[in-house]
Amino acid sequence: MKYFLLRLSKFAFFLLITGIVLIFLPSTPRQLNSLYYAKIDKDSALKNTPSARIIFIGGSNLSFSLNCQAIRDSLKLNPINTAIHRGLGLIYMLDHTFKYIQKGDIIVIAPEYDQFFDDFEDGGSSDALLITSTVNGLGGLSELRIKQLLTSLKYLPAYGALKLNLSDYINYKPDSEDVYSRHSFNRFGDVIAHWRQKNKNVPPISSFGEHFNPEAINEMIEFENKSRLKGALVYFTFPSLQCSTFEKCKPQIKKVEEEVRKTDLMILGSPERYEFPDTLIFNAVYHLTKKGLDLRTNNLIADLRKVLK
Amino acid sequence: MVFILMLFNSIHFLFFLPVVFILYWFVTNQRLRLQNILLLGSSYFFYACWNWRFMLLLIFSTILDYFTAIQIARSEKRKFRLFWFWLSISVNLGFLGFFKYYNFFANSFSDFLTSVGLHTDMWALQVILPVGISFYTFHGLSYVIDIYKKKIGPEKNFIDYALFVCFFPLLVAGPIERATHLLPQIKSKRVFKRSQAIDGLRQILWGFFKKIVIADGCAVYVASIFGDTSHNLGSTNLLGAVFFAVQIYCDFSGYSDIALGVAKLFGIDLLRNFAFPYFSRDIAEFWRRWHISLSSWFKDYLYIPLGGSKVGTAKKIRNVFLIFIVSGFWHGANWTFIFWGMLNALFILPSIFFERNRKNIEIAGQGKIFPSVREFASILITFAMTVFAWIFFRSASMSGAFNFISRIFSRSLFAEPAVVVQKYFLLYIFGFFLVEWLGRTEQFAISNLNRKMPLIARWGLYISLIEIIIASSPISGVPQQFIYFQF
Repeated sequence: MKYFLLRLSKFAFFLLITGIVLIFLPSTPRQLNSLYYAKIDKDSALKNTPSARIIFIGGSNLSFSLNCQAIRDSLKLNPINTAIHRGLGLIYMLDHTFKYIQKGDIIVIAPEYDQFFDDFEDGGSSDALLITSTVNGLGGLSELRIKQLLTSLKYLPAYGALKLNLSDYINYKPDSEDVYSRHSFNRFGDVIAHWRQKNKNVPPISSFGEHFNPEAINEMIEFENKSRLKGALVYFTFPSLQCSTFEKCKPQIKKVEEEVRKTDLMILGSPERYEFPDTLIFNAVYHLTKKGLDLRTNNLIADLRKVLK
Repeated sequence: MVFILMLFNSIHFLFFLPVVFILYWFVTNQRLRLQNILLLGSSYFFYACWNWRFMLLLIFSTILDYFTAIQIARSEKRKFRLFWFWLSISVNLGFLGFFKYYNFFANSFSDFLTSVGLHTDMWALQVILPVGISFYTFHGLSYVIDIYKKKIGPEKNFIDYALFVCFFPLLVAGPIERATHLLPQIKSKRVFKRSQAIDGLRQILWGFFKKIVIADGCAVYVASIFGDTSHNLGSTNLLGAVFFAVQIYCDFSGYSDIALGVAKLFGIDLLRNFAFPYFSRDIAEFWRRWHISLSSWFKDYLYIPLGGSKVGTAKKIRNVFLIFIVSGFWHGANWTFIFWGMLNALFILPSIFFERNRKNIEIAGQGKIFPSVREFASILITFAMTVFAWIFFRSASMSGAFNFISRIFSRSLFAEPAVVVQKYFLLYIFGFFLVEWLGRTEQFAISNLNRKMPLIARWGLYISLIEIIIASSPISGVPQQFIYFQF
């Protein structure tokens, strides 16, 4: 028994070392082309875009459903769409963007409704946070809060093992039609790869989560306070959403609206204003087709015009 | 009410198993009685994680069989023995029938009434199938039948008997054990054997590879191909059918490998359930190598009591059809399973009729690396027949199955399949069958690695397998169910 356990421990140690080596191995060609690596380009835009700037923070309801060129042309502001994936969690989105905020910036936060339920805002719902925060190396993990770090660590074995995925190396060719690639974005950070693609008949979802969690709202209030001290203005707006999902999740959406309206946050529009017919939905309940995203952008421009006068 | 998803491939089991292992070998100080109590408690905990209410049903069934078996053995008069025997059989089959088949019969009866102009919609109930009921009921039945036939004596120690019924590795999906095989092991002192434990770990690893990498990988394609067949090409359907054959084998034999491996860690050898069935050269051989514990159960408790093949032609045909139809029905209350059973009976009948069903006893290509051309052709034909039958097993309805098959036999069979299968996945499947072929003379494919490879190469292989398993695991951490849990 003693020998067995000793042998087993040696094997476990050997396995651990191999796992660590895999984690530190360079990303595979497929990983390098994934949408998470768009963070490098978006960070560069946050760093180098001159004033006057308008920065959008949120998940894919912004990346897939906004036309920053139209915003630039209408409002004469330099837009930066920082959105990558809602699975990153709102806390990371706010924390990461905050360090790039400059005096005079206008910030629009449009979190998906999921961010207000359960612990979604922590970013533990997928491996997105782990991958995105480490695109420049594991040092990126230092940006995470303790709870985020702990929830991300569970994805570490799978993250290391992904380097063994043969299809990432063998005959891998980036697909120009891929909407989830680093190259799906334009220079402002909008996904444009789907602009010529058709609606995919997306089934509605019936819930964003089990329990309302006020943490996301508290984080936005704190972010707004800190940004004001830097001389930036923060606005909140509602995400674009599929009409049938809106109907199914109305009580949850109303709860979010009610709680946000209780705060001092400056709010653009209403949930209904950003609800879109199912025919304008692309491949997920928050993602709009080109026609839909132009409508959403026009609504947002009109809402911004009212407050920026 | 579900509170923990305790599957072999869930994270909870990764904590559960080492805890039970350490308590078993260290804390109980190798005292048999304490070890058995610990295993019984762990088994009930394992089952209660799925649904604690149905644990009461399991305990009731265990007490019933324990008690009736003692009464059967004690009774000297035949009528009393028959009374206790039929009490146990009818209650056990009654529970199984209610939970598994109630809606099937109710709906069939309702359909019949509708067909004669009477409309009813009051028959259907929302009956939840208790996981493992088909397996533990068969444990109990075999025990009571063996007592009745005086093959064995009744077990007086309730803990030992209860552990025989619900030992956690086999509780939810077998293998279906026999009292003559498992009870003596439960009653004798277990000594830790390093070689047995290492063999167990190796079998667990191979089981996980089969389940998570191959079966779950195939499941993605199978679900989409069988999900919407309305526009499928024949070639796509053929691919789906072949992938389902691979999926169900790797899913179920993967589960069995993990169960056998886990039991070995506790010093217990369970019955072998699979013996490389897809290398069979005829259907009779296939059924000697597929779900062995169930096939042998039906053979011992149904086929042979009916006379087996030592009866006249008409009865021989009846017996073959009966055993396969019951086997199909055991899998579930659906005409597709019954038809699947009938189809297998049709396939096997000629070999039984001409007494050629025991022609292929040894594994194909015994003592050689490659099979002969004749053997290879036989293996391919047998595989094609099983694939054909699996279509009925997988389809939701008979009409769906016939529609699926009609597309295979259309001109679109020669078109390029509309499903893109990742090349690396095909490589995994090819590698998997190659390893299975090379290890076909062993209990499981990689059980002989110890003898053939140096330590560093062996560990390298194990680590690669573990990494591939982790890479293939669902990123959400929510494991895929085993197919046989629904039976």
